[in-house]
Amino acid sequence: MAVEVGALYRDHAPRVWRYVRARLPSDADAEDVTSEVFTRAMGSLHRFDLSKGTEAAWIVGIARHATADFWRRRSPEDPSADPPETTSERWSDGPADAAIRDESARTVLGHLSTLSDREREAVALRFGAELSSPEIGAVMDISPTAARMLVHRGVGKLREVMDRG
Amino acid sequence: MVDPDETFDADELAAAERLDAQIDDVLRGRVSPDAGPEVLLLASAVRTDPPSALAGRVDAAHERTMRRRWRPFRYVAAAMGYLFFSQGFGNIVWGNWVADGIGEDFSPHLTREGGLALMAVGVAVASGALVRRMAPVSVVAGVPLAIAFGIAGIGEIGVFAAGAVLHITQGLVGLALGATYWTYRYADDRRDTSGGHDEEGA
Repeated sequence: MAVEVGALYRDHAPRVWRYVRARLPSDADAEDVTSEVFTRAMGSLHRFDLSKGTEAAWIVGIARHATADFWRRRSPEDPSADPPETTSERWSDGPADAAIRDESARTVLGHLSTLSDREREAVALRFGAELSSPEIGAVMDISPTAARMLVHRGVGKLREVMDRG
Repeated sequence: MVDPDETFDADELAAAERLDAQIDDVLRGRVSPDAGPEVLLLASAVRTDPPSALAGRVDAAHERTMRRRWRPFRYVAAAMGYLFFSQGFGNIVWGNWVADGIGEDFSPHLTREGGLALMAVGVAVASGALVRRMAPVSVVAGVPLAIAFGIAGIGEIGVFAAGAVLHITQGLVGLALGATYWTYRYADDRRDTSGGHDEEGA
């Protein structure tokens, strides 16, 4: 792997993958979009300005656009219409544990569809990209408090849905 | 939906801040007794590792992009290398004719050594057409010299037609070499940044 793309991938692949995976219906789609994110990032790496924000926020911003483009191409399908699919190979424990965790993950990711688009976005940025509230605020162009509230309301809705289920 | 201008209820705000701290704890792998099951499940469900094959796929996609962007540079570097090499060779073989053309005394020793140097520059410039990491060598070796020749070629117009054509061509190809290098290294490829978003502003 080339040095630049290798370093970028090593530093940010988990956060990009997790964010994209939380926003898309399948591993295959998430792989396509994650690959596209790094290609785009390498194309604009020379324009990255540290004074405008962290590298993490920058690459997550690219991931947001790539994800939006994915759904635009899939239009008019609903971003939350497809039930998320998970694969056991992502878990490192035994097959039985993996099956249980897969089921839980599928359930939780499926419940994300009950959130509004912005709540789902904020939850994916918080849990997937692991951005702080101020970073989410910067990426979504809202205040840190508004970002925190979006996550809070999103998680609250998930709690209600899971309690009902 | 949260309105950016919305004023929040103090209790809800405090709950959001507590949740934020719990999420921080969970994401850092610390035990957070207050964290609800939905927080733990979300963290577990979302925080999966990328598939092992993805790194290779990203690398292959990047490699394809760089090769595609390098292609125009290759052609220009090859042309530039050929021009320098053939000029050097021509000076060695037809130095007397060149000296006559520009009305100067022929110096076999200087012409031969200058010709060899030009052939070496030609090889250095052409190396960027064959090996991608040699592209900066092509630019450093070729562009300044080509532009200098191009300027000198203007003075040969009306004096020595062959020399004027060669040098002005070298100057133009030198500019093209610099431009294609810039495109290869720095310009955005719209095919890579489809959607036209300002990704810097993210």
